Amino acid sequence: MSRREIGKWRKTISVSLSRYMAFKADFFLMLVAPSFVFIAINYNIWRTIFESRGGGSISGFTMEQMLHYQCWSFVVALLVRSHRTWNLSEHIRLGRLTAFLLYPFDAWKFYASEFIAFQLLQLTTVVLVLGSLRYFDFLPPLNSDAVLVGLAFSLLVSVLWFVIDFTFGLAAFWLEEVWIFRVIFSFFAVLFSGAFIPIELFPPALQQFLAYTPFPFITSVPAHIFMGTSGVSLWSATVTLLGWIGGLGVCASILWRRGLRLYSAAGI
Amino acid sequence: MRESVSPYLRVLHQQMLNSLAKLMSFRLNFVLSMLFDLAAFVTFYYTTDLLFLHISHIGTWSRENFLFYIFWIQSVSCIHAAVIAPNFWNFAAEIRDGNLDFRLLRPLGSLFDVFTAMTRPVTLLTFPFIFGFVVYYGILLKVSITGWLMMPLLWVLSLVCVVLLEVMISMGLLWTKGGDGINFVRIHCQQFQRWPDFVYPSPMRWICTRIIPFLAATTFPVRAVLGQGEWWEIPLLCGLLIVVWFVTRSLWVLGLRRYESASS
Repeated sequence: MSRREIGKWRKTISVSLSRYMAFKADFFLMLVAPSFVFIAINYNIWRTIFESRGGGSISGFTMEQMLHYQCWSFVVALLVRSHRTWNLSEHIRLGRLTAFLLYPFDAWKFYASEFIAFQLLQLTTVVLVLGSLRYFDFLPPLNSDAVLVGLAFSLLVSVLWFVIDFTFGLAAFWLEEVWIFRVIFSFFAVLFSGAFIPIELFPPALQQFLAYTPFPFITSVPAHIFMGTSGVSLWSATVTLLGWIGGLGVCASILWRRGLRLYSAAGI
Repeated sequence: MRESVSPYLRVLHQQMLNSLAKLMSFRLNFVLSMLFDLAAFVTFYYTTDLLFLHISHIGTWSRENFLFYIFWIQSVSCIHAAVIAPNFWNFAAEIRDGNLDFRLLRPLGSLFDVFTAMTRPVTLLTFPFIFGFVVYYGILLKVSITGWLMMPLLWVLSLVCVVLLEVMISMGLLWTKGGDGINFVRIHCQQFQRWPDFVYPSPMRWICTRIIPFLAATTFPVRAVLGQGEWWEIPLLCGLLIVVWFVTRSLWVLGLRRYESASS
C-alpha cells in the first residue's frame, strides 16, 4: 500500500471519527443505553433464574459462571455487533453513491474506514466497560492473556459482522427497504450466537447444526475465549472465521459488481 | 366528542390505506415485512421455550404464565409497530431537515399527525394470530370470567401506556441534534418491558412501576387479568398515565419553542 493510499485511509477514518463525535449527546446515549439494559436485563434475569432454582448449575454453568458469561457476552456485543452500515443502503437508494464512485478512493474503502473509526471508539468504550465491570466486582480478576486474545478475536469477528451487514446493505440495489434483513438477522444472531442463552443450553442437535454456521463466532466463541473456557482450538476457530469472512467477502464483491450494473443514480 | 374524534379516525384510515397501497406496489417488501414479524415471534417464543427446558419457574411464574405475558407484549407491539413505531425515526428526520414545519401547519393535532404520519399495516395481519396465543394461554391458565371481561380494557391500557411512554422519550429529540441516541434509548426501553417486574432488583422495580411506569405498563395489566395483582396497581397505572400525558404535552410545548426549523 502506497503512502498516498495510507494517507487517504487515515484522513477518511479521521473524518468519520469527527462525524461520530459531532453529536455528543447521541453518542453518549448510544454508549450508555446498551450498558444499562445489559445490567438491567441479562444480569438480573439470570440471577433471578438461579435464585428461583435455589442455586445449582444449568448445563454446567453455575450462577457465578453464568453471570461472568453474560458480562463477557456484553463486551463481545459492544465490539462485534456495534457497527451498522446503515448509510450504504440509503446512499444506493437516494443516488448518493454516485459521489463515492467518482472519488479517488473506492466506495467500499470509505465504508471500511467508517467501520474502523467506529471500532476505535468502541475499543475505548470496551476498556471503560471492562474497568467498570471489574471495579464493581461483576467480573473476577482479569487474565491479561485471555483478555488480549479475546479482544483480538472479537475484532476479527467484527469484520465478519461488517461484511454480513455490508452484504445486506447491497440488497438496496434490488430492494426498496433492506433494514428488514438486518433486523431479522440480528434477531437470529442474538438467539443462536448464545448472546443471552449460552449455546451449551441448546438441544444437542441444534448445537451440532450451529457449529456449521457463523453464529457461534458472533458471541459464544469469543466469550469463552475471554473466560478461558473455550473448547475449540484458537487456530482452527481463526481459520474457520477467516474462511467465513473470505466467502462472504466474495459474495459481497459479486453483489457489488452486479448491483452497480443496475444502479441508476437516482436524483441526478 | 364524536365530532372531534371522527376526523382523526378518518385521517388514520386514509394513512393506513396509503401505506397499504405503497406496500403492495413493492410486493417483496410486503413479504419481507411478514417475515420480519414472524422472525420476531419465533425468536421470542423460542428464547422462552429454551429457558423453560432447564427450569420450571422464574420467580413465581410458570412457562404458561411467561408465554401469556410474552404474547400480551407481542400483541401490544403489533399495533404499536403498525401505527406508531415507524414515526419515531421519521420525527427525528423531520426535526433535522426542518420538515416538521409542514406538520405544525396542518389543521390537526400536531402530536397526532407527527406520530401517525407513517403506518405499517402489514403488521396488523399477524395480530389475530398473536392474540390467539394470548387467548390460548389464558385458557390454559384458567383466567376467570372477570379477567376475560377486563382483558380488552386492560390491553388498551397497556397499549396506550407503552405508546405514551415512548412518545415522552422521543420528546428528547427536540433537544438533541442527531436523533439516533434518543431512538436507541427508546428501543432499549422496549427490551426492558419484555420481562415482568419481579426479575428486576427492588429499587429499579420501584422506580419503574411507581414513578416512570415502564414495567407497570405491561406487568400490572397482565397480573390483573391473571387475578394476581394488588387492588391499587391499575388505579396507580391510570394515575401515572395522566401524569405521563401532561409531562409529554409540556415537553412538546417547550420543545417546539426551541425548534429552529432548519429549512426556513
